[in-house]
Amino acid sequence: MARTPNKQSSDKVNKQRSGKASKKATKKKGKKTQKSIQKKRSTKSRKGAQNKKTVMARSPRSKPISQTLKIAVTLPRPIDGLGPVRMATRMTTQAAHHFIPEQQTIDNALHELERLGFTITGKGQLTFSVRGSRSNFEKVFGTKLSKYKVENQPEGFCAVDSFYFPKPGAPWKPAAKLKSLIDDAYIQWPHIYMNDLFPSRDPSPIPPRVNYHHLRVPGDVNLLLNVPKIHREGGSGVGVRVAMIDSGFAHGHAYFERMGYNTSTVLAPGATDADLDGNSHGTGESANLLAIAPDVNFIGVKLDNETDPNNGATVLEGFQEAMRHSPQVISVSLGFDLADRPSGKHLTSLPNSLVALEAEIEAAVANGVVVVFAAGNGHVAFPGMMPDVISAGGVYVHEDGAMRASDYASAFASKIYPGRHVPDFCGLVGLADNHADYIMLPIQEQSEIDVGNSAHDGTSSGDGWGVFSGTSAAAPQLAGVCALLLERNPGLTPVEVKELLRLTSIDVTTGNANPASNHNGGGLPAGIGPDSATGMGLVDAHAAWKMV
Amino acid sequence: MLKKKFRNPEGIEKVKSACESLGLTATASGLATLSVRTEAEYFEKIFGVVLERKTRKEISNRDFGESGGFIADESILIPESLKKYVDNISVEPPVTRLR
Repeated sequence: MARTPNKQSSDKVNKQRSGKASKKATKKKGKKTQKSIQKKRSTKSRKGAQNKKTVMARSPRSKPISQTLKIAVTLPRPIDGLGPVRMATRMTTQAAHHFIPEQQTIDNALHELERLGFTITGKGQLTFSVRGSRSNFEKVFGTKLSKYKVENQPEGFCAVDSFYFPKPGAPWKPAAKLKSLIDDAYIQWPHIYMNDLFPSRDPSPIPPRVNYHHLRVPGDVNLLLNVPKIHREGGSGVGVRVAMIDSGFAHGHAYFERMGYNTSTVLAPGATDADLDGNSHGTGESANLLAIAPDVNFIGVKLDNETDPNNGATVLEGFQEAMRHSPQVISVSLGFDLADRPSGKHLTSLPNSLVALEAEIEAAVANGVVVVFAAGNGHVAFPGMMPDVISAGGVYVHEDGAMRASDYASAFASKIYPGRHVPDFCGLVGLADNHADYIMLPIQEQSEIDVGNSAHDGTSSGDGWGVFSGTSAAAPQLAGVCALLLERNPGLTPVEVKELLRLTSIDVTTGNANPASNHNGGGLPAGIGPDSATGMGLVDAHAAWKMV
Repeated sequence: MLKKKFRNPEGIEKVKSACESLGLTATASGLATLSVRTEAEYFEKIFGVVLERKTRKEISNRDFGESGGFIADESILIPESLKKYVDNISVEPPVTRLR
């Protein structure tokens, strides 16, 4: 009979339930880095004071290992002298009553245990609990105990953090009389408190509840863009390399970790700290893309430098860095507003300062990279207006399923690229009267968006979640759909990808786009067929997928 | 923005070298462009431009703010030592982080 913990059982002790081992150094570093950020949890936090109290009430890990052992004793059954341990077959409810020992057996065993210096602490029908000193246990059972440490458990979530147990191969020679009276005796392992599925996860992978219609990732975003059928048919973006250029990507957030995405973050020149996203725009928006194409090789190109914001990377530097990683799709939710404000008069030629960026984007598309840019939110956005990129506009879907052009998203005819109408087609974007607070997204806690958006989105400041959208969300959604198409056929050119999405988008016939983007004033209207507000309409991922 | 002839690894290395001779530090390159950095005052001096400094813009209703940076006079003259290699030199303006 195995006396000492076998490898499997010791692994069970050493690799506890939570704390999935992170494969990436950036994620491990991210946990440490995120924990180093000052945490000021709101009193509205769902984890709340009560959980904290519960944690505090448990034994702190700094307590020295106890010399008093807690032992479970089983006794032999009348019929054949075998007990639950030595029987070596699985106990069942039907068999249990056969193992109830005779009273005389119980009395004799307990008497002997007390005589040998153990204290009886509990009696069951089949088992008994006793306690005794480590030294006495070693003496009575003829063994040698070693110290075991409980690993991978957050503080306060295991009864103790160290305990004694015989090592594999340790001697086992119980005192003869005791051996004849009992079935077996085992030191009990420390138990784990199960009331926090995600202990010390700050923030929670589960988004908070807010009391207005909004969408959640991944489910609602996928549902409305008709993605679930693709996932069921085996499409998830496997093998497709997608780069996203943004503020940063704090993918150490419990949501991303729990989803198990394959992501990495690289630093564009001037950017720092790959695990942080002080603004959190990139972190949140990346959840849109990963919801749709969860198995892409995601390369986050971080632009921001939180310590020295003026030293962060330019969009061009970010794009150059992205291209170094051979992406098939690039998603960018940044831009330049090429209009005189406050008049709103559109510029009629591309500023010299942006010619280099234009050239780099053109070269990328010529090399077969699908480039997706946000159309803007009332902005006359460049590079979203470039003819060869996919320009992502916005459609709002009400909880009753009704669709309309988002009045938050831009739509305009470019004066710089004659004949170019923005957008090409659309992703999911909220409405202006609600700050476009539409999609619940995971963000770095205490980030600018976490704090700033909480003033109106119903989440708590510092809880690591925010409700927001805009064409910044639409662009990564469309990029995710592009990745699914490229998984199905890696040979698709950017033109072909765009055409597939154009041909299969769902017509949106009502609503108006953001008036601030239209040089004539007044938001461009949606209508039957292709229209100024939504282009070809709301992307239908599965319809495009079937056409590949 | 590189001239077409220098849009290849060898060409980029030549342009980098020429930039570095001018005191410009190359930071990244793409298929058609090279990014460099230098101090604002030095840039104004060697390119004969006046830079307008733009401070960061905070989060607004329309977007999540604008990065700080500089705006340059449109007519940045290409120095003689770079004329052979580049078609255009520009300073990227501050970018808007769209919602």
